[in-house]
Amino acid sequence: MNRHEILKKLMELDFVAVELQLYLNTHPDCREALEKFNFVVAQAQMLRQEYERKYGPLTSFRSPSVYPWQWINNPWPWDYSFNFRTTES
Amino acid sequence: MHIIKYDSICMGGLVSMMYKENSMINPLANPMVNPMANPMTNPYYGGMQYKNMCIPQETVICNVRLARAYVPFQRLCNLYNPKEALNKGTAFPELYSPYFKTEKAKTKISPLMEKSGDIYE
Repeated sequence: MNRHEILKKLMELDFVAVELQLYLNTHPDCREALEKFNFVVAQAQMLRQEYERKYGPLTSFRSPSVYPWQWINNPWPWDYSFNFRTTES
Repeated sequence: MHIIKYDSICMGGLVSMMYKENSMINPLANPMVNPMANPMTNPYYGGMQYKNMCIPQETVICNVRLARAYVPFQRLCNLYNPKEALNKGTAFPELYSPYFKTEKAKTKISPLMEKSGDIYE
């Protein structure tokens, strides 16, 4: 997977994690939802590590960095070239 | 000790019942009295044997008091795959409610409904 592909997959997994988290707030005893949530979080975590190993930190204070400090490198996450379109046109 | 009378809708019917206000026991919530209150025997409340006919919300609401708003409790059925979820803005098919661009309504509907995003047809 290239940079955009990993990033997109990561955004998809993080979004599902947010959705399941909201569901779990009102259904804390739903074992099925909890299993799905833990699975999605673990998948996202693996993908995040892969991304950061290959392409640098995704966050300024939660990502480890190789030397020298990587966060200041372009593009930054809010730069146009960093991102992709979420919907296919 | 007050005795109050109220109507409750349960199992699709209108049940009139008397109960003591200070009683902690609600007979309709007791699985020994009402099989619909038992998750394992109520097909719409997640009974395992009915997994195939999954309905993503409770369909039997007990002890609904008149003139009170009530939101049916969601139940987990299917999820969109992550790609579809991100594109649609929800992981839950039952909550997918897109805004459609429609022609200016020929039949005048209330401005509130116009903004709601749901299509009532």
